[in-house]
Parts: sequence; structure tokens; C-alpha cells
Amino acid sequence: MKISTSQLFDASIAQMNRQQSNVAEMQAKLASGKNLVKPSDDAEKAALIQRLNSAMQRQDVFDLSLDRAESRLRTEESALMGVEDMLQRIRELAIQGSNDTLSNADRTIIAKEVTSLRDGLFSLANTQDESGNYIFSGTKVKTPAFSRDADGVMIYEGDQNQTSVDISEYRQVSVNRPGDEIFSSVSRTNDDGNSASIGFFKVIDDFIDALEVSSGTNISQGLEEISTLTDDMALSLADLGSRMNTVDNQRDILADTKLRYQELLSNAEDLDYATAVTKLSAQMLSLEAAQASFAKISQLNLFNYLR
Amino acid sequence: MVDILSIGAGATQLYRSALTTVSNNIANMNTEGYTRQVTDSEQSMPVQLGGMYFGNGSHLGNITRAFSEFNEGNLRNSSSELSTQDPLIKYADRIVDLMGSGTSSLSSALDQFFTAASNLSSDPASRPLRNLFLRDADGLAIRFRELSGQLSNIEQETQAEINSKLTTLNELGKQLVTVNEQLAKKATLNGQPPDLLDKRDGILRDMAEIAKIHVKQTASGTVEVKLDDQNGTTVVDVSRATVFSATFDADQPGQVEILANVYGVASPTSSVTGGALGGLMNFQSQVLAPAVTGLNELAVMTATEINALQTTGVDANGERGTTLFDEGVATAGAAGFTLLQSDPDKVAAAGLLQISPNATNSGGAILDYNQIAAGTPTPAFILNYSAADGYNIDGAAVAVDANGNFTHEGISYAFTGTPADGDSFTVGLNITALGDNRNMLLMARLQDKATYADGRTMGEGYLDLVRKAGNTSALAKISRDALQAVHDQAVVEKDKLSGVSLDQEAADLIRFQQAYQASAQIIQTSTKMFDSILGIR
Repeated sequence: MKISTSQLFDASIAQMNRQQSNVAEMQAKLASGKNLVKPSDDAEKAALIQRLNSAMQRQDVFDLSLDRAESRLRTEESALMGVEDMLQRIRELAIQGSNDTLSNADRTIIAKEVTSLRDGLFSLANTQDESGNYIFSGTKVKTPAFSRDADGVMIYEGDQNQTSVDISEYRQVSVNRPGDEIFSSVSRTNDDGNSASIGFFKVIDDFIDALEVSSGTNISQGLEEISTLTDDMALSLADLGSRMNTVDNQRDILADTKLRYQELLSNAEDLDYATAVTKLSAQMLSLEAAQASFAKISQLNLFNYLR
Repeated sequence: MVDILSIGAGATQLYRSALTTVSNNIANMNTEGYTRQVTDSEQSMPVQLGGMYFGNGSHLGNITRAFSEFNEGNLRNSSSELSTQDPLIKYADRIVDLMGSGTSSLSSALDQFFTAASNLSSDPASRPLRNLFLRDADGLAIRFRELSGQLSNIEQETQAEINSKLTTLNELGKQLVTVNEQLAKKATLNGQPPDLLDKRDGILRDMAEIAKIHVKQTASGTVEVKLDDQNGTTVVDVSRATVFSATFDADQPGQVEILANVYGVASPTSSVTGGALGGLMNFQSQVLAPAVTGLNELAVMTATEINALQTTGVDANGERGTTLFDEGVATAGAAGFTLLQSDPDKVAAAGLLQISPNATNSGGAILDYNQIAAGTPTPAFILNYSAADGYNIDGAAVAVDANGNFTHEGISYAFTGTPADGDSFTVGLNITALGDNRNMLLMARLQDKATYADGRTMGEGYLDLVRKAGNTSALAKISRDALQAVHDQAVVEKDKLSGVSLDQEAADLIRFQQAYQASAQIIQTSTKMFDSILGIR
């Protein structure tokens, strides 16, 4: 078969160009460390990488939500622990106050201590988180949860709404409980036989009054009611503990998930250097062979022998 | 009597021509489109002497091109098919690189937006987070507009390229008419100058790279050219070239119509396939149009979904939210995707309704509402329950089903637990709940919502657009590799016959030189013979 001279040159040049572009492509991969230099090299893979990146970012968001939830719950926990300690102390004082051997003066002293404990509880009930949100106000986070109205009665200013945040695609954790659930009410049977709901602070206020006037029945009623409040608080703490557990669990799950996505992403995106370097040497070898053979073959010409 | 001298003279003339042709071949070995020329020698008429015939030498028959119509046709067709792929790949890759890269893709802007929504949902009262949310919402809007702008740049570029290809085609048509006029001066193909035929074939090859053509040759070598096949629109008949132009539909991306203008009347052409023109049109209809409509569809969907939530929530001022993105996106597409809000307090993070049980309720039932459709008016009512008469609002009875669900003024509500006699619930705008994140949670969850009718999320729908463009380009690359092999083969086939090989020319040079020397020797011999006769005395 006849091969024309210009065809011989053209074909060799085309061949070498192709080899050269292969080498350049492989070099770009090695330099970037990525399997995919441009998305157009493999659109399917580029789409996969973007999906995985989105999923990774999603997990990072959940991580952040977990941090926020945990810090909110920790704030709530430290407030509730304080409340529990104070209630315990009030209960001890109530037991002490119901002792018949105590003088009225002794009871007044106890009343003073209970008053200061009550003020402590009041300030804990209006705890704010690091962003200045009142954590026991439901969703009215810029309003203090409890305040005294004009008659000196402590009232709850928040609402009943619970806020939850997403900590995975399928899991939420609630980060607050309305203040009037935590600082719970007790049911008291009045003299007329009807029962009424008495607020947390009213119970303590009534108890202080009873101590001041040394009313035996009211003191023992106070002791009973304060015991109920202490029990409720223990329940609240248990509930909080379970929510914090959820957060911890989810953190472990999240770490696993992130690791899995990272692996998938690395598989899709990162270059396998061993294979790439081997390929590059193979490509360079064939480029050199093409160049060397071209240099030799192009000199073959009948005219060289016509002298 | 046969004249040796004239045989010798004729032969030297013949081999002189042959050597000229060989030299011409060597001189033109790098000339684009040159076809190797061959000298045909012919026997001269023999001379009859008595009963015998004496050969009378040879003379130059013709100088012809080493040419095969079949090879040339193959080459033209294969180059049409090959050149279809290049613009398709070039532009489809640009779309993939634009839409698929981490930095310029919509995916990253969507992720960013949903991240901001998710962060805001964990602390809806935070002004900095509200600001970030607006910033990322604007980022999303800008990304939509940028992508739309880039796509329309690509559209304009391809339109300009279609126009320039048509201009070239028209120009080639005119040139071919000139060549045809020259060729028409001779009656047969044999009489035509080889360079004119080379020129004709060169023009046809250039035309084939622009669009697939059908060529019909007449006896004299003039050609008629049609688009696509023998039934296609005439590009050139023997003496007239058609002027082609393109019109683009401004409202429908990718819609191209090629018009043929004969005698000043423009009419639609038959289908244009193959060649760069076919490739560009394929790109417009198969890659660009779906990408543009897909992006616009996604823009409308995104704006609608986000606006629907924003307008069924309550902002930091305790007012019902107003649209976040311009609703004009429905007509303007992604190019009209703009953020309307700049006040962070206008972000509606809270749920629309506050449902408060009356302070004296003793049943412990909780009333909640399900997601509200956009455009539903804000309700304000008190739901009362009495053991005797059931549920009522303002004295009108309300039907609550066994599961505790009911619908009022387009919003569905659900009870958890059962109310006691005399309980009531106040339903109204959620005006004080700065810390309420219900709406923002829904916003963040849009990322996973099956927004498309077939169940894909917005992010997946976008990646499908990238994938679609990528698939077309990948297919075109496979075709290109296959067609390149076919084209290379066609080049080799044509070259085998028509190309100039220096080795062959060198051999011919020696062959004809020796023949020329031998012919000169004949003349010498004839002179000597004549001298011999004259020398007799």
C-alpha cells in the first residue's frame, strides 16, 4: 500500500499530539491530586461528587445543631441542678420548721433563709443562654419567664411552645421546655373542698407566710407541697438527661456517617497515585517511542540514494 | 516507411511531459487538496506496409488526476459526520464545566442556603443568623442569575457560530458557481484542467464540513449540491447558489430555523444534518434547550417553595411574612430570580399560628395545626368544647373526626388528647414567638423535599441537568472516536490513490529519465543511419 509522504508526516504529528495531550492530562491529575480535573471529564462522577459534598455539608450542619442543642441543654441542666439543690434545702428547712420544739423566732429565721432561696429560684427560672434567650419562656425568648405582677403574684410570662431542632434527617430533639412545666404547679384542696392549681412560686410564698405566722397546718401543707415540687424537679431532670443522651448518641452516629461519606468522597474524587504514576510512565514511554521512530522513519527517502 | 526519427522525437516529448508531471507532483506534495497527476501515454497509429503493420511510437495521451469519485464521496461524508461531533462536545463540555464545578454550580449555593436555614432554626431569635440567612438567600438568587446569564452567553455564541458557518457556506456556494461556470466551457470531464477539479473538490470538502451534502456530477464535471440527500434543498445548481440565513426564536432557547433564499424569497430548508452546522443545531436542541428550561423550571420551583413557607410564617416583628423572592421568576425564569427582602427581621422563622389552651382548661388536650398552603388567610377564632354539644366556633358546630382532626378555613388541625367539658382554645397569629423555629425547620427540610413530580429533590434535579449535558457530551465523544477512525480510513484510502509519495516520484523520475535518455538515443541512431546513407559514394 502506498503511503504518501505528507500523510506519513500528518499521521505521525497527530499521533504525537494525542500522546502529548494524554501526558498533559495525567500530569494535571497528579498535580491536583484529583481524579477529575474538570467536571466535563466525567459528568456522572462530577454529579456524584457534588451530591456527596452536599451530604457532607448536611452532616456538618447537624454537627452544629448538636453543638447548639447541647449547649442549650447544658444551660438548662445547670439551672435545674441549682433548682433541685435549693428545693432540697427548702425541704430540709420545711422539715425543720415543722418541728414543734422550734420557737416562733427560730421559724422567722428559717423564713428568712427560705426567702433568699426563693429569690435564688426566681433568678434561675429566668436563666438566659449565651445568646441572651430566656430558656424557660417557651418561644417568647426575649421575655423573662417569670415576673411579679402588680399584686406581687409571680406569673409565667412565656408560652407553651416547645422548640425542637433537627439533629439528623429523621431525628429531632427538643431544646427547651416551657417554664410552667418545669416550675410546676401543685393541686391544693381549699377549705371549701374545691381543688385549685397553685403555682410553683406561690407554694413557696405561702410556705414563707406560714413560717412567719408559725401556722402548723400550713407548714405541714407546705412541706407536702414542696416534696411534690422536688419530685417533679427530679422527673424534669430525668427528662433532660434522656434528651442529652439522645444528643450524645446522635453525635456518635453522626461521626460514623461523616466517616462513611468521607470515604465515599475520597473514593470518587481522590487520585490513586500508584496507578496514575504507572500510567504516566507508560504514556511517556509511548510518546518517546513515537518521537524516536518518527525521527528515524522520516529520514527514509529514496532521494537520499540518488546521487 | 516508419520514421525512426519521428518515433524518437515523439518519445522524448512524451517523457519530457512525464518528467514535468513528476516534478509538478513533487513540487505540490504539501499542497492542500492536490491530487497526484499521471501522464498517460498512447500508442501512435501503426503504419501499414504491404500486409504488415509497423508500430509508430507513442505520444502523450492526457494528464489525468489519480482520483476516485467513490473515495472522495466517502471522505466528504465521513468528514461531515466527524465535524458534527466537535461543536457538540465543545459546548456541552462548557455547560458541564459551568454547571458542574464546585464553585460555580447551583448545588453549592443551595447547600449554603439550607445550611443558613438550618443554623437559623437552632436560634431563630438571633439577628446575626437572620442576616446570614438573607445573605445566603441572596447568594442563591445571584447564582441562579449568573448561571442563566452564562447559559445565554453560550446560546449567543453558538448562534453567532451558526451565522458564521452559514456565511462561509454561502461564500463557498458562490465560489462553486464560478468553478462550475469554468467547467461548463468544456463538454467532457477529460478535457478539464486538473487544478480546477481539485479546486472544485476542495470547495465540496469544505462544504461537507459545514453540513452534510449530496453531490451530483454532470458529464462535464460541473456539480449540483443539495443538503442532506437527493431530496434536500439545493445549495448550488450549475449556475446559481442559494443564500442561507438563520432565525432564532427569542422565547424558545435552542429553536433554530435555517432559511434558504432563492430569487429573494426565503423559505424553510429541508433538515440540516451533519457537519459543524448540524452539530451546533444538535447542541442547541439537545443540550442547551433542556439546560435552560431545566434551570428555569428549577428557579420557579425553588422560589415558589421558599415563598410558600415564607408567606405562611411569622417574622420577628410578629407579622405574617411576605415573599422572599420575586414572583416574576415565573415569567422571567432564572434570570429574574431576585431577593426582595433586606431586613433580617422580615425573615419568617416562626410558625403562622399560636394556639393557646385557655388557662382554665382541665382536659390537657393540645391542639396543633398542619402545614398551611400558601395564600391561606390567617385565621383568628376560639374553639369551644362542651360535653353536651361538641365543638363549636362562634356558635357554629365544627365536625371533629374520631382521630381528633378537623379543617377550618382551609387549615387542618389535630388534637392530641381529649378536651374536657368547657375547655377552649384560642387560635390566632403567632405574634410574640421570636424563639419559634417551626417555619425555619420546614425551610431547612426543603432540602430533602421531593419537589419534582417524580420525587427528586431540588438538588438532585439540578444534578440531573448536569448529568444530561454530560451524557450527551460523553456519547458524542464515543461517536467522535469511532468517526475519527472512519475518517482516518477514508483519508488513507483517498491518499493511497491521490497522495504524493516521494519514493514513488523518485522511482518515476529515474524511470522517465532513463526512458528520455533512451529516446534521445533513438534520435542519435536515426541521425547515424541517415549519415550512413549519405556517406555512400
